[in-house]
Amino acid sequence: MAPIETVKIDFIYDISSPNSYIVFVTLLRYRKAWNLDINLRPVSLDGITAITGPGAANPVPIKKAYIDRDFGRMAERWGLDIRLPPGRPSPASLLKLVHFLRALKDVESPDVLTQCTVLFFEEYYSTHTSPVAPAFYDCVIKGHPASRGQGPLSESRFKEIWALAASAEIEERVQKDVKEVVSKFKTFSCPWIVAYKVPLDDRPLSREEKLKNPIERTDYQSFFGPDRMDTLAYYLGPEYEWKGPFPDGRERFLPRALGLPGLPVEFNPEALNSDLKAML
Amino acid sequence: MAPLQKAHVKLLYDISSPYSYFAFATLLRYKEAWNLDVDLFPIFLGGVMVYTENTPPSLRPMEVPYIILDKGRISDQYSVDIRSPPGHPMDTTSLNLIRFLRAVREEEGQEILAECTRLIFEEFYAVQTDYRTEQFWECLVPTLTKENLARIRQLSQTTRHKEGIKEDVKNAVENYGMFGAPWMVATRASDGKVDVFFGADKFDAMGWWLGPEYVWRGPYPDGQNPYPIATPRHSGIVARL
Repeated sequence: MAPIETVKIDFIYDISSPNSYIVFVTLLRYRKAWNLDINLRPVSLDGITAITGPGAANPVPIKKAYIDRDFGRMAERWGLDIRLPPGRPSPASLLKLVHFLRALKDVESPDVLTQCTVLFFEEYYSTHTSPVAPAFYDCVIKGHPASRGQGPLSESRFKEIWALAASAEIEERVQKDVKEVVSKFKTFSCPWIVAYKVPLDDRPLSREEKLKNPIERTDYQSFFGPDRMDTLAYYLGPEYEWKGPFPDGRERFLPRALGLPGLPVEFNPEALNSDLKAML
Repeated sequence: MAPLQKAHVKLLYDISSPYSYFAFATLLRYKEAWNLDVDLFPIFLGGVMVYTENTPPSLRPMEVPYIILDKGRISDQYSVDIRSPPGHPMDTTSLNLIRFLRAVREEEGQEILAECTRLIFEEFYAVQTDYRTEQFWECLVPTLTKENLARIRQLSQTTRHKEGIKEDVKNAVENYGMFGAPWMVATRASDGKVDVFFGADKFDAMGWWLGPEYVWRGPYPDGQNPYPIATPRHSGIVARL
């Protein structure tokens, strides 16, 4: 059982990074179980690699083949019906999207930013709309097909934010963000989690007083990639357990495309995306 | 409850890679619990890097701070001491160690190979004896007798093993798509399918892939938290190997 105090998480991501989707979904699923306060920070992966060099974000072909294969495996294990987009748009082509998300972060609430991020990820990895096409942004106006109604932004609001995203201010902020994460957190790729542990508070105060004046969090660590969630749980403390892609540990019992003997249920992608749709 | 059928896992590892040490230790801890048939295979990572034109993260300076942080905390989490000796990895090469382990694998078999690997890893990372000295090899006595040790060391410098290492690198890259260590090739018991897993952090994914009866419970199969290496002692926690 996680303590009442929230764990602050900075989630540094880019829509173009497939593993960012997986880690994003994981953080949303564990939000209640670990009492997370997620601060979404959309960045330009292109901008990061311009500073740090190609390295991890641009591997040799044999490594790329493995990473793509591993992504397919992880998508199935996480119960997500997602595939790498055909044609593999380069991170540079998503710069407008990064500006839009950064503008959203400034003017809208974190909930709206979360919803829009989910919709963009789905549009990019499930529906496979090209990110340079204007139709890509219809998802935040119309919402998810399952919700059959208004998306998080109205058409007029979308136009306002689109205009703001094209301004020089947002461009400057995006560049500043990239410089900050690289110099402060030594980020070199996405997805990048910065977790601020709940500090030990042994002051002689009552519970309410401690919650009103919390100790400043100075202890933080970085976690890169989708395979560090158990290490994140180890860092946060013994009350935080990593149970796999689902916090109730049900990944072992989900039906699989591989058709292992003894599992009578057929693989049904529609059913597996239901918990994601419930968040929208 | 260990699974009834045996699954086969081949671990390709190198002494120079601390993540190989994590994978080696964890795999042997889970050998009984997952009823695994483990095939340890020493391979020369430097050769793999050259053959695939890949670069290890230690040669990418912007990634080094994260790697240092990550190694330390995984060392704590998995209770494996990888405090690296001075000059590692830039000034060290594991070529002779891999030749030796390859000879041990052929001459002595898997059990002795596992023990020799463990001793060499400990001597290299924890005790930090210089691997170029004669004193380094004394750690393998009495697992191997002094005569046997000298014999296998001589054998490892023959053409058979020197060329064999290059063959191994070529086979691993072409058959398994290997580009780094640790590299695990797992064969599922239920349908005989084969898949590859790169890194010491893929055990829970491998457990999921092998089947629902392969449960990952963290660094130890009984779910216990290990004794941290780098952080200070807490009273009441007993060290485990």
